[in-house]
Amino acid sequence: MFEIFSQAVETLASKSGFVTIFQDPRQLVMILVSFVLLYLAIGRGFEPLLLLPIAFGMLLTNIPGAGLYHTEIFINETQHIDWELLSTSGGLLDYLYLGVKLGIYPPLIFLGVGAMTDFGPLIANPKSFIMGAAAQLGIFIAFCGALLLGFSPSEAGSIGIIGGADGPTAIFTTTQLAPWLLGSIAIAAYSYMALVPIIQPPIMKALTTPKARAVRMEQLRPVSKLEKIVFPILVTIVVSFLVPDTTPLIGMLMLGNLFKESGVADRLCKTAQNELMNIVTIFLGVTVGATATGANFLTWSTIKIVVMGLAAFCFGTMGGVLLGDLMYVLSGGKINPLIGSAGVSAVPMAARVSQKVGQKENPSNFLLMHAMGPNVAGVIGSAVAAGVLLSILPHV
Amino acid sequence: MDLSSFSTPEIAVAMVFTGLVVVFCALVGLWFIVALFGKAFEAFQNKPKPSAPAAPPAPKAAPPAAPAAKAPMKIEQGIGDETVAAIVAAITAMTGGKAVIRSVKRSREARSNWAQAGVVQNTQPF
Repeated sequence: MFEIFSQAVETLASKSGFVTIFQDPRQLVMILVSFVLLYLAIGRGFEPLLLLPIAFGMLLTNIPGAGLYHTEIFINETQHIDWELLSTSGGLLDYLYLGVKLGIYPPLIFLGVGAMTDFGPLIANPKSFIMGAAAQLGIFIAFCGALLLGFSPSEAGSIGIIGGADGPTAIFTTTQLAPWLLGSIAIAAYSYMALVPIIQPPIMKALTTPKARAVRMEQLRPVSKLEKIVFPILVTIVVSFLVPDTTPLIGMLMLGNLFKESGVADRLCKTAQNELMNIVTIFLGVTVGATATGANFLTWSTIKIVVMGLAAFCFGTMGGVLLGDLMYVLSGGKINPLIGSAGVSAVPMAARVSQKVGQKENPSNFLLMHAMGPNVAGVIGSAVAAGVLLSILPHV
Repeated sequence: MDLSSFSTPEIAVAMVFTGLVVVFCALVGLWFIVALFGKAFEAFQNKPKPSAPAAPPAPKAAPPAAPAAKAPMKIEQGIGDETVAAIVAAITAMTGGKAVIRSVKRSREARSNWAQAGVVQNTQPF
């Protein structure tokens, strides 16, 4: 009996994570990285709704012997899902990851985002569209930078889309262009989105004059219900006809918004805003975090992605603010250029930053609603940019 | 699309150019369409106004009566009696009845002190 007991203990000990972790110390490093991300999410409140599940997914996937996620099922020679391997050795996170791999979760997140978004400021001031377009500059500058650093065009496209400051768009694009970079790109994108209040203000101040920053903008006109109902249908048709590859994102975003604005689908709207959005966020966060295995994440590529992601955010902010400056001049000083920086998406954080920086210059100034226009235009702009990348660059 | 036959700088330049042109085209196109729609809706909403000329004679009749009454208070159309009473009471309380109220009209300023206080309250969390 004692012999069986000792053998059982020995077997358990040899399979235990405390022993096997030292066979691949990268897993230990990744667990420590996940602790850092957990601290940032819980302790510092950095995008906790996504960073927390991402960090925990990273922790789970790096537990030795747990077998929750198998990279080889999704990233292999054929670059297609290995259904046989999935059915024989698939773990919990492998099955949940299907929603990412098949491009299901990001459009569902967009459905919820659409149901929560008020496009009124954009409809009232459609000039904001152009600021949303200018802020996409960062995507293409980062694309060039990534190419110069030796990434393939598809990888460079996935890295560039970080500059869209839009998590679901970045994940949607990366799963189709370079899924092996998904963990690094998602973490970089969400980390920088959380750091928008730190990254953007110095650039905004450097590119604007105190006089321009103090401009008080005219109150926006009221937008009729009919306009708000027509808007999502119109945008879906125009954008999807122009860039069909972006239809899953734009279509779902606008469907969610139509739920909200129509006023006849209140139950669907509430579900999209709350339950569905929360469920999908959990699945998306945990599984994206699970792709950050030691072998995938602890590479020079990750460092390059982090650097290029920062460049993408900075250039995106510059593009928006510079176009804001141009509109300030052309409008005879009626447009505050600070609202241009909100064009980098990151809803509503980037608009809040415009509001805060503007209020520092003129405490009685309220730019929030004006900045929401470029902010939501940026969501549409980054989806269009993603469509361009997806239609030109080779898919895996 | 097969990009293997192009050099890295060629791909980079072509992508920046194509990407920015398409993004700007899409969003500038939306700008014009939404602006046109806005104008159309505005025109549509303002349409019934000219078809109601019967209403203006009443306010027009009021100004001639004003000088006759010596100190009439001009009240902008759409402001209710209760609102006027509240404003008059507040001003009287503040000035001790020394002020003469000649007119009550909506402030044309972008944001009044009360509205500003409301906005501050609503945007405080941001």
